[in-house]
Amino acid sequence: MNQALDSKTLEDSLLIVKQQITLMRKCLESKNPQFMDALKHASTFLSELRTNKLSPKLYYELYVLVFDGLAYLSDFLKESHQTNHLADLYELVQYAGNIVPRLYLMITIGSVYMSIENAPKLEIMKDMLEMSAGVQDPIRGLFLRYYLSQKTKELLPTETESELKETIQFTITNFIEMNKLWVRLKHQGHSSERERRLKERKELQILVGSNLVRISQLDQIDKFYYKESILPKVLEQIVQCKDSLAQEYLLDVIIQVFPDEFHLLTLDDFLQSTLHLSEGFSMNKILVTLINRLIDFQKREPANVKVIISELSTLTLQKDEHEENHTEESDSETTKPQTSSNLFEKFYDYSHLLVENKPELNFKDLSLILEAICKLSLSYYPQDYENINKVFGFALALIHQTTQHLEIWEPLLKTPICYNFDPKLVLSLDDNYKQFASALPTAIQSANALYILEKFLEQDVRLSTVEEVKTLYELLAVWFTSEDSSDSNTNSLLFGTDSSKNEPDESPEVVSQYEALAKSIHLIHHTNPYKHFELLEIAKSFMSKSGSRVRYTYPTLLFAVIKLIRKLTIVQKLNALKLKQFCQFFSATNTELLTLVSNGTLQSEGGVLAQTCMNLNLSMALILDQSSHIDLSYEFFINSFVIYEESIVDSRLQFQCLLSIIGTLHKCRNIVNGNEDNFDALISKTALYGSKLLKKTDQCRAVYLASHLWWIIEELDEEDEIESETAKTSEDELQVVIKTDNKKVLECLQKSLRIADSCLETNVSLELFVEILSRSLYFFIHGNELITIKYLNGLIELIQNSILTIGEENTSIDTPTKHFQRTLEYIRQQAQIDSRFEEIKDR
Amino acid sequence: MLLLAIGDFHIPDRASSIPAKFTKLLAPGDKIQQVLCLGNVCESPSTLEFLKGISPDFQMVKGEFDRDLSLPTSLVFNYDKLKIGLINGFNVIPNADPLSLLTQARLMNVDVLVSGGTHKIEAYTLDGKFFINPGSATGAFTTKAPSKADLEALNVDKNLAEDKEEDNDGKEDKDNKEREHQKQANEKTSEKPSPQTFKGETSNQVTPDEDDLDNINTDSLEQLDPIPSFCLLDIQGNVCTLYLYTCIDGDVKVDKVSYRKED
Repeated sequence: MNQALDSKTLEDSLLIVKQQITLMRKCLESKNPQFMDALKHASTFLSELRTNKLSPKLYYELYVLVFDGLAYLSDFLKESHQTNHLADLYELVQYAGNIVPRLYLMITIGSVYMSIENAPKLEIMKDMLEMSAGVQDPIRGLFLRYYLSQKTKELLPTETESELKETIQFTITNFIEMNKLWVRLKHQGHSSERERRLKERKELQILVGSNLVRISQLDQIDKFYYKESILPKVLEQIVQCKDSLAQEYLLDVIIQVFPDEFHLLTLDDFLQSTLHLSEGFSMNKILVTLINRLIDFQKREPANVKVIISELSTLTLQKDEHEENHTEESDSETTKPQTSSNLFEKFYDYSHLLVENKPELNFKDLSLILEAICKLSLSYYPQDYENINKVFGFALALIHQTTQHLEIWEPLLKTPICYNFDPKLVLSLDDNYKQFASALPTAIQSANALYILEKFLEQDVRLSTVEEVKTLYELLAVWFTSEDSSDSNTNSLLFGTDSSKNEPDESPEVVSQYEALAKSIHLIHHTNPYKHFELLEIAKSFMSKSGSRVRYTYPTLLFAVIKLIRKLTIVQKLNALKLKQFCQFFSATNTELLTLVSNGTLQSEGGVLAQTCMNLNLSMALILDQSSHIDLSYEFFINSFVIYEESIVDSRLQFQCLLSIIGTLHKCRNIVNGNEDNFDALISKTALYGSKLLKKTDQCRAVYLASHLWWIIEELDEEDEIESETAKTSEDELQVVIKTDNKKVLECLQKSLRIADSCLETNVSLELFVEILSRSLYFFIHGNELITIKYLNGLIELIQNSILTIGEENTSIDTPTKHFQRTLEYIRQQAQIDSRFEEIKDR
Repeated sequence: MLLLAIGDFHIPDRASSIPAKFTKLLAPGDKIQQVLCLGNVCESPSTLEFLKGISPDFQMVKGEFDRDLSLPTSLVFNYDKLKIGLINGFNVIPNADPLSLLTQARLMNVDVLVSGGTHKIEAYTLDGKFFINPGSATGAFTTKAPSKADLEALNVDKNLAEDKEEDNDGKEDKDNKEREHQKQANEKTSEKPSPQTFKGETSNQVTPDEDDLDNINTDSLEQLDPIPSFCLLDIQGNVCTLYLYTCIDGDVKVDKVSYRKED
């Protein structure tokens, strides 16, 4: 209802103003300007501004129209000031009947008057300012003063020092008066309309702030003048008005419109005054804005910042001397002079004062303020970790006072790592940080830990001291708690274990945490492998606390050890005693992993983990073989076999593991030469495992592949050829014979053939025959004397007969038949380059 | 048709991540139609997610360090006129042996066989078939012994470094050199070729003194780590154009090889 009424009133007023402006222009534009009539029309439309029925927003619309109307008048006056004597006119309008039109006319004429050369500018300014006090209605007064400020902004004199002073005085006074009017608006009308008034006041705030903008636009003022003569007056008004809306808005304007160097120099004054602000004022927004500006300033112009800070310290010194004489006068603790020019100290001390003086300040605001202070310190004093420690010490004290809404502290917790360029900073912090972190909910701790770790990984931050390794893992401590030993254990006593239910089903968060944790092991680095190993031991002492989740981290740890042995081997600094320690560490760790498999914690996942354990052992065995520690290597092969026998149950896994064993043994060089008996024991055992596999196909393949273990020939890389004059040459390639046992190879092939033959499905045995033929060709090419033409022909005949028996048309043997044909095709091709092949029959 | 062949990540067991330059190159898009993963991703869900993001058609075979038993150990794909086989490599005995790979390719009836395991990128044609090893995407550590050539390259560097520090421990240095001379002499005079790949002595193991162990610097050995690599296969009719990507000291290098299947 009100709004409808308002807009009706506005429409009526706008109509009148438009009419009167037209009339006024007619008077002015006629050949003989009727100036006095024009003034009358102006006075009539100005009278519309006397309304108190409009909201500020609508009043502003009216004001804009009136402003344009008065502009015509100003322009006319400017052009014709010779005929219309402005001083007289200025006196004349004083007799206008009503105060609002009178003052608008006065300012219109006065501002034109000011633009004329040799006009008594200062007097006009003063007079206009004084007269404006005549309107005390908040809205009308604010707009009138806004008009005053708009009309005079280009005209204020600044040439001499005293002029500048007057100009500033003029603007500040206008600002103070406007602010008073603005604050008074709060107390008008019925209390039930408070909400609406707050809204209206917000609409008007820009009028008040415009004065501060004006001051900031004066190029002539420097930071010292600002500190001495401007800021104190402005702050005084802001503090005195006791209105939180005004305080919040105006302080924000100050921060936004004045340059950063001003703020830096006047920091103490600014902070001091904020301690006296009224209740309900939210400090954090202002402080965070201020600090962010200071941080940007430092980033943008570090040299300039340095200069100002040194100026600041001289200023502070002077102030101290000055204060010493007046110590008795300082009435309370809060006005204690701040002696340091250290920005962090200023803000840090301030945050304490804030807590003392403003008990109503909530924790959310405090956390934001501390976060900003933390950032400030990291930006201004990146090396001063003590500052950060202090902040967290304070935060810790605060957090002990409450148990609610702890999540508000999360951003502060992340600040040191998120804001700092060097993630290692977080390692230098003292216990305050860790204690602060551990006082927060687990979920937050956990997220922060991941955050820290990801930063480290991202920047590949190397950890090379015991301290660093320990500290990092202490920061991740929240992860190293064993999974909940849930009470389902008692149930499992009664109902037995349901394998599908009891599976430790890790959440994606946990999995990614542990992936990152495993990666952290790669960050550990020391140029000396023995020192490196000590660091790994420390890492393990932390990892070992994570229950069955060690399965994510231990393999990485073990590979780190393997890598160390490789390095020491190359530099020939492998110490036998130390190596023993390495091996013990490796075995113990691997056994812990295996325990997870054997005690059934992991259920179906266990089998594949056992495969990993076995492969880790094989890797170790191979590395030890390369380092010529053949006895230790043998041990690890035996361990691998034990895992194979005891922990690999799934037939698919058994086959895969056996292939890994064969592949690894085939790469061994030293153990074959150094202790052939041991090696023979290993390879015989392997072949035996092959023949014991569950499926005939697997058996057959494992056995024919195991044949390679008696036929180890190293083909040298091209680069190596020149070097190894001693190598035996066979055919075109350079080879080093490690082990060749014609008979054993043949035996394996024969055994695999027997297994293939015993398969019940003819198509399967046929396929296996073809595979064995292929394998035999391999050894034929390599010159195994027992794999003769006769033997190959026999195999081919066997296959051909089988095909005939089954019947070529039988579609079930399509695949093996084609494989056979491809093999024969290969033989034909080889015959063209190797005459030995010519004797192989192929019909 | 563009395919990505990539494998042997070993994350987190042996490496932290794929080089950033690679992840940038392999950003999700519609360029790559199929991802052929050779396994050994290990326990890294984030890597799997990354790979599946490259193309919705994600194919993977199991490596010996993958803990997902449901993965196949070999796969075959038909493209137009080419058949491509995928296998990790631990299941080819002897590992990475060309003749064995040829046998395997014949068994799988493929023209192109992609396999891994060695962490060394290579591609070659043998008896009309094309063999591709995209190496390790992360440049992960391998238990395979480093080649003699690599070690010699390293020794050159090491000697240079040692020359600089001669003032400090010149005596020790001399000892080392003498030892090396002896070693070389041994190698030349020995009747049987020394079978081990990269260590000097076989019988007399050198066991350094305890106090000798404090001054070891193995930083230069980092350059022995495999080079991160992967391959892109561009299949057009019976031609496969192979792009071999390597990342050396942070710089990506691309080589190109072509294979045409004979009719």
